[in-house]
Amino acid sequence: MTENEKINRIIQKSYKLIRIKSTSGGTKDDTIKKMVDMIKKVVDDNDN
Amino acid sequence: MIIKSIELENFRQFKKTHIDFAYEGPGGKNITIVLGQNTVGKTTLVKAFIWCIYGINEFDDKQLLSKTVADSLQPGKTATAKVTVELEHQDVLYRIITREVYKKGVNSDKLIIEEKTTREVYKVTDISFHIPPIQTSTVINSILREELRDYFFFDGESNKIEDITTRSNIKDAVLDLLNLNTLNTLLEYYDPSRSKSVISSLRNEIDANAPAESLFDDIEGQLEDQRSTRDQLNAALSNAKKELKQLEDFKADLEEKISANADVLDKQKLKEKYSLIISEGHQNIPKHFDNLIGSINKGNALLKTLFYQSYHDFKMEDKLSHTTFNTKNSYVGINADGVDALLKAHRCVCGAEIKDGSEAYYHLLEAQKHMEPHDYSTQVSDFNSSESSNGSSCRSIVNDIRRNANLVLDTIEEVDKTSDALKDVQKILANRNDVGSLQKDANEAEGHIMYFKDQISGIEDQLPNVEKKIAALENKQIENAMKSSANTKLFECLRLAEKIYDAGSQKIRELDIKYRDKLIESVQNVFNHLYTGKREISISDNYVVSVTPNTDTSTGFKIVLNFSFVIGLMNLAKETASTENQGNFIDEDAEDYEEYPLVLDAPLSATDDEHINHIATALADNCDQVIMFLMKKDYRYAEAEIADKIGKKYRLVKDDEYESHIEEDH
Repeated sequence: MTENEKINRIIQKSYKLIRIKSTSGGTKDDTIKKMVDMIKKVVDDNDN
Repeated sequence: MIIKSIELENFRQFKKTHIDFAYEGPGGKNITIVLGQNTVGKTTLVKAFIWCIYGINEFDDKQLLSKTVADSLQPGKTATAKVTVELEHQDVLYRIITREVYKKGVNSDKLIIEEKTTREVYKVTDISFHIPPIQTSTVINSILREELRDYFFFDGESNKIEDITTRSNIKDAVLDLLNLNTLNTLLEYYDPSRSKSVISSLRNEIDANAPAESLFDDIEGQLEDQRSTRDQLNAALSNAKKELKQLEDFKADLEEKISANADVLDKQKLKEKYSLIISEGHQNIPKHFDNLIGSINKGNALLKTLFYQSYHDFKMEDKLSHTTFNTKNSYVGINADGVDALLKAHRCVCGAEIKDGSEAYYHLLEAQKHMEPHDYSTQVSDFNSSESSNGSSCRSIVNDIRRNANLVLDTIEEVDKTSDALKDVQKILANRNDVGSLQKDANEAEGHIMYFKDQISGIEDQLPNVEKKIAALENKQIENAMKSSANTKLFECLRLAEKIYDAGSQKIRELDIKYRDKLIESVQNVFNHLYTGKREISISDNYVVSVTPNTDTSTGFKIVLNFSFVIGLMNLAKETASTENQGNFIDEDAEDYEEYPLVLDAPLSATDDEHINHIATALADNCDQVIMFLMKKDYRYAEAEIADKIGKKYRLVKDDEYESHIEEDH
């Protein structure tokens, strides 16, 4: 995955997490943690 | 969001009323007209939407329960005012049911609120799914934000029109409609200046993982020191063991030689003894000789010794031959015995008394010494006494000399004899090992062996501690290396997150400027169609709309301005949703442009005929769904422009002062 692809993936996954938070609830802290984990996975190139 | 229907039960003047709203999709008949005269309930219907959807009671008297129902309510009994709105958003049907329960007092006619306003939101699919109450507001705001309610649920007769066109709290809502809020929210989540954000979390994690640089250096330094210590100790240990081995071999060799020469050990001891005697003799001879010389030189002892006898004789004869009686102190014819007689008698021959101890008594005693025969014996006695003392001294001196001389001679003799004996022993020991020397070397070697054994023991005690420290430091180093490795990944995450934040911030600044310019253009276009005069629209950073010149302050003008803004905003929202202005930051999963309804109460009543015509045309051409509550006189001016877009048409009928109902016009 190129860096641009990684950035796009992180952005889209972040939007998704924001949508989940706005529709299904949850705390902001949880969402931040999920975003951090998601970024780590994307960096590892194993985010499917 | 498309409003499908509204149903009112015991709500204000409507006991039970259901209204379905027209919507056929783009270009279709999407306008619903509800006609009614003043006080028949048009404004009540708009406020019913706001209460149902947002839970906000905009009625001055706050009582929602139908007055007829309230009046007929029995004491202690309850009744419920209820409004149900069904709407469609992103292809999902939502049912919102809002109710408030009233109770008539037992002892009075007073109506009290038994249960305050409660909202229930259901997602209606095959089965209704009740959204948890805690998420009700979130879900409704995701459908149409509350800040925009006065734009989309418009009360043309309200005194809020002034406020609507100048309010400054709608920026987020506008950005939401323009699909920029998702990006805004994303930036909030990434914002490094917030203590709780993605970037802050990554930084905190890196900080927690990262060993302090100084600590890292310190470990390296400590490890280097400990390894150097270990090397030095190992080198010292190796050297000490080598030395020890050599010494032990040397000692074993010596002991072997000592054992092989055990028979000469006695001779060796004798040799040492003789050597000692000779050595001491050589040291003592000069001392003894000095003592001899000292004794000879003591006074004139030698002379006195050699001539003692003759001197004695000579002195005695001389003494006797030269003895004379001292007439001064003696008395001729009187001898010592005569004096004794006088002294015994205590009386002189002259008759004078001679007392013991008196002057005369002592005088006689002195005189007696020089009288015969006493004087000779005294002389001889004194002489003998004196010469005896001298002789004794001389004998003592001679004895000393003799002893000292003997000591010198004896020592010389002993040295001579021992030297001869030593020569004999040396002959025997010739060509044989010096066992004493060997033993001495062996003893010395043993001393060195003990020293090196102590050194080895000390080093062997130290080494495990040093190894332990090295192992601990190496573990710490590995741990740091692992952390460092984890941080490499975290730094990459942080770099991407910061890149996203920076690019997103830049993008939103660009889009904010771009969209505001576009919004000004869009609103200006709509305004130009609605308003017959010339005005220049401007929109502030907070999306507050203003016009230049601002000479018309009439309600009609403000209504025109309000519609211009809403319609212009919706037009821009359609455009932005269909473009990829957001580049990387476009939300790929975001829904396409969402239709929005305009629910309008008396929108045309404050404007003149010409503007009614323009507004009606603009609404029909630009709006996705319009629900208009109108008086018949205003509708008459607009009907021609919107007739082919009207899907449903109703009439509000007043039954009495407190009740109305609705009828559909077919």
